Amino acid sequence: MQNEKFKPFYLFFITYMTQMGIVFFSLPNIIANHFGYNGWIMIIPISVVVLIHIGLIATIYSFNKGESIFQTIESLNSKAKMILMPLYISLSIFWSILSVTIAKHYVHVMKFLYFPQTDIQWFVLLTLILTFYLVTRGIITIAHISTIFFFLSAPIIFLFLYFVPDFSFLQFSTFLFNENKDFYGGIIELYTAFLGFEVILFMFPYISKEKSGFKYVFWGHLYTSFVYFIVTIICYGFNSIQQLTRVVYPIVNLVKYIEFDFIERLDSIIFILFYLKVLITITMYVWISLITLKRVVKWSDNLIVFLLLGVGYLSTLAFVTKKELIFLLSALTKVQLLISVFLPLLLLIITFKKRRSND
Amino acid sequence: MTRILMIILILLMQSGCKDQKIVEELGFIHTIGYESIEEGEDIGKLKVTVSFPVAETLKQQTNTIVVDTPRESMIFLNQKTNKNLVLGQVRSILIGEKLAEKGVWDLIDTFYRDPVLRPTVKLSIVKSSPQQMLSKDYPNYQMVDTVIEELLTKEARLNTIPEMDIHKFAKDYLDDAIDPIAPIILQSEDGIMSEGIGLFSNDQLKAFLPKIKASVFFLLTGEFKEGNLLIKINKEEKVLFSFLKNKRSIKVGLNNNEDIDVNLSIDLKGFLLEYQGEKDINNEKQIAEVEGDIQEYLENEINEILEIMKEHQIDNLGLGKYIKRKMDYQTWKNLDWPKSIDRVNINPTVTVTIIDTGLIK
Repeated sequence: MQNEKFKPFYLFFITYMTQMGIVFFSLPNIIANHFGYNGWIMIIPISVVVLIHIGLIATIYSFNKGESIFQTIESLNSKAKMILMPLYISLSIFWSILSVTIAKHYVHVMKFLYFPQTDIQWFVLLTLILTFYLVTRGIITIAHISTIFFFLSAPIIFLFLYFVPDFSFLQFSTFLFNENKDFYGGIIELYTAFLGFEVILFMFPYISKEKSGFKYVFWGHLYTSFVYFIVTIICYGFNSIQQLTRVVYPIVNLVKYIEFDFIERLDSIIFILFYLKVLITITMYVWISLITLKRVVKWSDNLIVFLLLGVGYLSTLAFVTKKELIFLLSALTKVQLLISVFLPLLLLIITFKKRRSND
Repeated sequence: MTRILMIILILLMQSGCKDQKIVEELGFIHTIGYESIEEGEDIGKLKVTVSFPVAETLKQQTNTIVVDTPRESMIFLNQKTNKNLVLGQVRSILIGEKLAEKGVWDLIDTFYRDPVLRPTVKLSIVKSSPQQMLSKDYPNYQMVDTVIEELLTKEARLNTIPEMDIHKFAKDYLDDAIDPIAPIILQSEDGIMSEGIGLFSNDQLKAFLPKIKASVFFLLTGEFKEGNLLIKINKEEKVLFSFLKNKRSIKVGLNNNEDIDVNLSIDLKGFLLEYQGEKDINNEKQIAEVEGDIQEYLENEINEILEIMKEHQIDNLGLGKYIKRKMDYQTWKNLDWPKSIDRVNINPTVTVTIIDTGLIK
C-alpha cells in the first residue's frame, strides 16, 4: 500500500467531499443564530483563515518533500516512538469515534425526516460495513470513489437556481451582525464546518509528485466555501432572519420548496445523495485512524479497521437522542479543530529544527 | 471497485424495504379545515375536517372531529375510516374566520415543524365554516378540495388574492418588518369563490380587503405584473384597465429619526379595454382626463388601504423593510414597528398612461 500513489487532482474531490458534512443542512441556521443579520459575510473571513491553514499544510508538504508526517515526527528522536505510541492509539480511537458519531448524526436526521421507523443502530451498522469496504480497499480506491460520488451529488447545486425568482435583497437589511448570540463561539462553529481538509496531512506519501499538485486542495476548499456561500445567501434572501434562526435545517426546508411536475418530494432524493458525501467523510477519518494505528501495531488492515469501527460503534452506542448526538459531535469536532491547528504547527517546528541541524 | 459499488448499491436499496407504505391502504389527506366552535357544549374547542380522495369511487371523502389540539385530530380521524390517513400529500389548509381572528400561529407551527409536510401547503381563510365548504355536494364539482386548490393558484396568478403558503406565512409572521396576509374564500350558492385579502397583525386576522381593493393592494406590493383592474370612478363612469407594466418604487426619507416620510410611487401603463361614461375616449384631451380620474381613484383606494393599516397598527405591505434599511439597529428597535405606523407620513402617487384604447375608433 505504501507504494500506491494517486494523481494530485483527486485531492480536489477528497478535500471537498471530506469537508462537506451534515453541517451543510443546518449551516444557515448556525450562521443566523451566531452572527445575526447578514451573518453570511462571515463565511469569507473564516474561509480565508482556513485557506491560510491549508497553506501551512502545503508548506510542510513542500519542505518535507512528501515525506509521511509520522516519519517527520519520529525523526526527531530515535526514542520518540515509545512516547508517541499512546498518542497514536488515542488519536486513532478518537477519529474512529468521531466518524461513527458523524454517521450516527446523519442517520438520526435521516430517520427523523424520512424514515421514522428505521432503527438508527441498524443503519449505522450498514454505513460502517460500507466504510469498512471502502477503507480496506486503500486510498486509491477511496480517491476514485469520491470522484464518482462528487459527480453524482455535485449537480444538486444547480437546483438552487430555482430560488432566484423568490430571492429578495430586501431580506438582508443593512444591519451587520446585530442580534447575534455568541459571536466568537460562532467563529469556532463555522470553522469546524470547514474541517476535513486536515486529512491531507496524512496523504503526503500517497500523492504522486507533480509541480504545484497541492493547488487542488486549495481549489477543493474554495469550492466548499463557494457552495456554503451560495446556499447561505439564498437562505438569507428566501427566509426572514427570525425565521432562519428558528428553522433547524434550512436547506432541507429550501429543497422541500422545489416543486416539479414530474417529481414529488425531491428533497428525500437529495438527502440520500448526500449520504454518499457523508460516507466519504467517515471513510477518510477512519482511513487516517487506520494509518495512524499502523505505526503501532503490525496487524492486517482488515483487522485494524474492524477493531476501530467496533470501538467507535460501541463507545457511541449510548448516544441516541438529538441532544446527546449534537453535544457529542460538537465536543468531538472542537477537539478535532485543536488537532488540526496544533498538528501542523508541531510539524512545522520539527521541520525547521531539522533543517537547522542539517545546515 | 465495481464490486464495492455493487455492494453499496444493494445495501442502500435494502434499507428502503424497512419503511414500507402501501398506497391502497393509505388515505392521502388533501385538505384540512380548522375552525373554532363558538357555541354549544364544545365551545372553544377545535373542529377539524379532512378530505381525501377515495380511489375506488373517484370521489372525495370528508371526516370531521372535535378536538382540543390540532395533532390530536389525526388520531381520532384515523379511527373513523378504513384508510390509514397520512399527511404527506396535504395541499391546502383552510382556517375558519373566527379561528383566524383568535390567532393561527399554533396551528401553522405544528405544520411547519412536521418533516412530512411540505412548506408549500397553501393557506386560506374561509368565511363561515370549512366543514360546510368541504362536505357540501356541489353540482359542478366532483372534488371540491382540488377545486379550492386550483382556484387559489389561478386567482393568485391573476392577482386578486395572495398566494400564501406555510413558508411565506411563517416568513412574514416571524419577520419584524412586515405582517402576514392570507387569501379569503367563501362558499357561494353554486360553488366556491375568492373574496379578497385578510390582513393579519402578528397571527390574528384584523381586517379584510374586498376584491377591488385587493388588486390595488397588489399594485402596492409590486407583485402585480399583469391582469385587469376594474375601476369604478363614480356611478356613471366605469373603466376596465388592462395593464402591461407596473412599476412601484418606495423611497424613505428620515428627518432626525422622528419624521419618517414614505413616498410610494406607482407607474402604470396599459390598455383601456372597456369604458362606460360620458367622455369620448378617442379624444386625446379626454383620455388625459380619464387618466387623471383613474389616478385619483387609485390614490383614494390606496389611502383607504393605508388608513385600515394605520387603524389596526399593522404593516402588511412590508413598508417596514424599507424603513429598516434607512436606520441603524437601535433606532429600528426603538421604533417598535408596526405599532408606530401612524407616525409615518405615507404619500402615494400614481401615474397612469393609457397606451391604446382598442380596435374601434
